[in-house]
Amino acid sequence: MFKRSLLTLASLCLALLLATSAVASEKVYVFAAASTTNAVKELIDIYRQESGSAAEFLTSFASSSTLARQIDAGADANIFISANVKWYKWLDEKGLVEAGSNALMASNALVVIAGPNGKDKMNDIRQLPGLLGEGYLAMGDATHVPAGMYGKEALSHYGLWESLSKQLAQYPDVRKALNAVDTEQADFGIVYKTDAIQSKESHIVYIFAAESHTPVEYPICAVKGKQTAETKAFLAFMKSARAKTVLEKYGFVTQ
Amino acid sequence: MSLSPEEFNAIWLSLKVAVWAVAVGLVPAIAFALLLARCQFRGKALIDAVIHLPLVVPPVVTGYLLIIVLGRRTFLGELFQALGLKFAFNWKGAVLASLVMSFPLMVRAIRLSIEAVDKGLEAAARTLGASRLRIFLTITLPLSVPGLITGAVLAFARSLGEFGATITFVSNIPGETQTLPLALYTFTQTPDGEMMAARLCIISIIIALVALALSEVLAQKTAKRING
Repeated sequence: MFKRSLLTLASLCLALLLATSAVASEKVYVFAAASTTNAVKELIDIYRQESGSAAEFLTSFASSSTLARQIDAGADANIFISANVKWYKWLDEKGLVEAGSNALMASNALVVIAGPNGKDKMNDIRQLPGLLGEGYLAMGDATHVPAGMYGKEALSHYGLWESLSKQLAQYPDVRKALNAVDTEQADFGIVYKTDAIQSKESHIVYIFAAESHTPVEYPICAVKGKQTAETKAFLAFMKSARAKTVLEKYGFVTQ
Repeated sequence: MSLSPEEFNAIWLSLKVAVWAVAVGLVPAIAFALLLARCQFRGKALIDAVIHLPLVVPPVVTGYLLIIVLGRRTFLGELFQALGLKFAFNWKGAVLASLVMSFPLMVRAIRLSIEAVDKGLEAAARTLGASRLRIFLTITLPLSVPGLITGAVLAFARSLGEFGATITFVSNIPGETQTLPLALYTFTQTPDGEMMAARLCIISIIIALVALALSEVLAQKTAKRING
């Protein structure tokens, strides 16, 4: 009697297990650069609505360096969107990019912003040290955060890097730099155009010329061995005209 | 193993920040511990909760609250700047962040020690005509020294390891606010920074072990003195 009920219980458990695994939807992990946060969230929503996909999309937004290292360490990412080509290549060299899945999602511009009570416009970036005075310039960490690396290039291009080095507040990702200007901790900041557009507090005072820094490009790819039908469909959607209009709405430039 | 200037700066700054955080926090911590251990009043639970808040909320939140309350353009921030205390992007701001984060640890340890002091001794002193201040200075405080040491060591250790509130409040400026954990973090984020990160890891462990050993010796000595 006891044996039989135990057997029933066991088979019940097994049935339950099978049932849940059949019902459980596929999970797609998207690891994306912090600067793409709002756009990628909206793109996922639209994709899910339009395709009727039952898959669950989970996102992790951080600096590209953090994400690339996490993927290298075996994080469960399916899709990686990097804010620069360097970290994408780093991952590719480790054999972690699914061949043929990569594409250029969009590009971005680098701008100087000022806080709520800051200056309106700056015609020449060489005015920055004078305007800054004793104040601070917030940016991504120039040793590893893409926005900081581009910022260093651009400042160096105009010979300003050395003279400003004592007044730089370098943050672990570009959104924290934006926040520092929003809260008036720093007087100016170097962020992406897309971040500046989304800020209610800060405004753009200067746009860096394209030749002053490496192009800000966002490669998108599937992680090696994590390519499924669902991620393929999503990557195809990201190349569509519909996706491009959304990206452009957020200030990105698409080809 | 010789230290690079960057490593030396980070270590020196970390020690400076931690020592200042403990030095500035100790007397207020004793005051609050005494208040919570020996006094009954309305709003006591609220004070207790506020002191403990940094222990419970994520450090980044504490850093963000510091920006909102003591940021460069806030009322309090400007008041302190007028008094010559500049926190934004300054090592003093790192001290403040460490102080706020480690304060609850100090208060807790000291409070427990004060509560353990025999009230009979204090009552006896009072019958002999000693003033409240004298009772505190000659009986309660000396008997609470083990708690003071524990609290100070915990706060020192917490300050050495402080990361989230510091990087949020004062950023990561080499030589000014880049303490040991921040330098370590920067190296882990840089391609090919693994070696440097490993070196700083070892240095952190050595500092922690030395501090613990020192506190152990100190604690044993005071225990001997108190117990005769």
